[in-house]
Amino acid sequence: MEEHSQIERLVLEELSADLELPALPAPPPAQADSAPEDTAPPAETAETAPEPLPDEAVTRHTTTLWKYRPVPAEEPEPFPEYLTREAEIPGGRVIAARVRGKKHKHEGTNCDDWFEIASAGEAAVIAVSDGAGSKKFSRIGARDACRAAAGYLACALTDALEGELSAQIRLPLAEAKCQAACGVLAGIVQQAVLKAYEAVEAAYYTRAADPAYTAALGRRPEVKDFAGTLLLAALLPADGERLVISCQVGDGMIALLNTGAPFDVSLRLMGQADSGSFSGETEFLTSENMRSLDALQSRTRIFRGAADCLLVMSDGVADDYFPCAPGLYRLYFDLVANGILPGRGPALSLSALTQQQVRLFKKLPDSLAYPWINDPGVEIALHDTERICQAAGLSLRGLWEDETPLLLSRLGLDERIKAAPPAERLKIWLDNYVVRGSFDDRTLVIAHLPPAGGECPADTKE
Amino acid sequence: MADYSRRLPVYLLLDCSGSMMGEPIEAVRQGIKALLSELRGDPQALETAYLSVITFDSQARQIIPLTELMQFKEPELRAGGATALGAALEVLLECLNSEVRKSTETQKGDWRPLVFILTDGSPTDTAAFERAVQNIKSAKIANIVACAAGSNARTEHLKRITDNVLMMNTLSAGDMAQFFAWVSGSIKMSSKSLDAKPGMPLRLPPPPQGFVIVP
Repeated sequence: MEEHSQIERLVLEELSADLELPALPAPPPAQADSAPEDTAPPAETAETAPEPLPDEAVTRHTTTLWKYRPVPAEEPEPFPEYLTREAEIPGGRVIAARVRGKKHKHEGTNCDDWFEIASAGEAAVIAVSDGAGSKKFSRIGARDACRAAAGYLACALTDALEGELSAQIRLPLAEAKCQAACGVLAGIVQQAVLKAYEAVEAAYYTRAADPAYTAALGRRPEVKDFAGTLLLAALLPADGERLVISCQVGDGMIALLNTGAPFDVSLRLMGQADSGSFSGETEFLTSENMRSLDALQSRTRIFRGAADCLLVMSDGVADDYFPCAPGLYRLYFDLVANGILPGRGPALSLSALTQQQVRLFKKLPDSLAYPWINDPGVEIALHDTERICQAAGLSLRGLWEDETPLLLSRLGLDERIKAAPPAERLKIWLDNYVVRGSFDDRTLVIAHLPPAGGECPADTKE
Repeated sequence: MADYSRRLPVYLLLDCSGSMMGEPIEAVRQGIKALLSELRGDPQALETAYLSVITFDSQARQIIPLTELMQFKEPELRAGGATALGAALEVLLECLNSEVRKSTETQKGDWRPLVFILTDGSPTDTAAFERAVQNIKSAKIANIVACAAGSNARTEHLKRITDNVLMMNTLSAGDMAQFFAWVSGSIKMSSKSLDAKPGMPLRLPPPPQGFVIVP
């Protein structure tokens, strides 16, 4: 509450005083020394920076300034505001959502993210692409890249698995035949990435001379105007385990969780975001050095083992959970706490809590709501793992070992989330969680493969 | 996760030499006020932009360390002395090295810093200037825009620091206001195209009328 009053004070003073500056917190006592002039520090010494504001103080203030503008109707190929998808896959279900980032909503520009899901017999294919934010038609490249990669990969996998490969990938991983089979599949995944690049090129040349695109850009389009990243994953069952082959160009993250495993061995990152020494400096499919199989080889990851959750996300989500190890535990917990993934252990009911659970429940923080950017009259309260950890005095490891605080938090879930199907829940959450400095498009695709007898997201009941 | 929120560091290098005394320095003060007021209406800038002010006269000093917009307190500017632009660039380099976070395994780096240099003369500390130019060029750690203001400003020195050099003809309040309006536009635009590739030319709004981009 103290924070709130400080924010209100800042806002009020700013509104009322025109060019006057918001009042500053008193400087830390150590700096407030009243040294006589002759012992004053040399002129080169800067004043000490004030204590940084809590992020919530800043986001509570900016929430009043974010505006909603729809996707422009006059530009070629407007993209939908939202994408959501749910698909059954062998042994589980995929839920996916993509929301337009606050930045694009504020400016009235298109969302640049896209995803596709395809199934290929027993296998499932996930593709996510984030069109370069600085390129006007990158969304088109992103969509076409996803479609081309997912389509090619689904067909090629289906063909490949009709032969001996299907049996070979089920052999123990140490066997040469299994490794060779994995190598063949990795090659197919890399081919799919090249197909995506071709699709981006095709997206360019079919529009290169179209006056509508030239008009929107103020010049002729170039291939680069269609640039985007690509995260591609193939998921196959392999002798009671999972085989996952992924290839990633650019930022974002692909990761696997084994919720049945101990904390230290339960998260596997399947990619490493390309980035320069400063943020936002990433590779794209159209980058010159991304077009060789050699370059893709180093971006390919193969996993064989137990895993029940495959997460593929654009950087709009991955950045909020940086560094991804252990940040993605937080993502998983946020998904559980907000009713998107079922979590482990039986669902709790308010009327049947133990004394101990009641005590814990009372310690947990209320969910947090911000005005929804699309309609400030709507506020959807969400749970946040970090606040839960703080309130309950728990580490991520502690939560992993006992999810009860998350399951208790879910009891107070917003009715609109409760009433929504899983992909819609994911969409609502992606569209409403607030992190300072996070206003990119957000895409998250989750393949959830519960162990036998476990729940799928669709079965989640509160 | 307060430690990991990515910042857009913005450095203002302001000439406070004797020739800026009077109307010009007052115009800079007003310009900064307007800049702050403008940026404080922009949620993206408020969440990401951090401002620092480095002034130079016969010496150079960082008078405001990198500070988030909501906490930024206007600097007190006084004009007098020579034009130690070289020393200012040295201070800038130190600040870039000590204040700007690079990406590491466990830390999301800041966005590439944006530096605006405003001067109405030419550097009087030539030896330091020569050194600093070499260091700045080889460090390649910021996007730098330099503005030569008024009839005495020499652009050839600035061209050695950066390819982005602007010239404004007068030191009038009107021109200065336009300059700072353009700076805030540039900061906003930068916070919108944060994913530009390194080494690519900086995308900035067109300069205001009466300003010339020095080729």
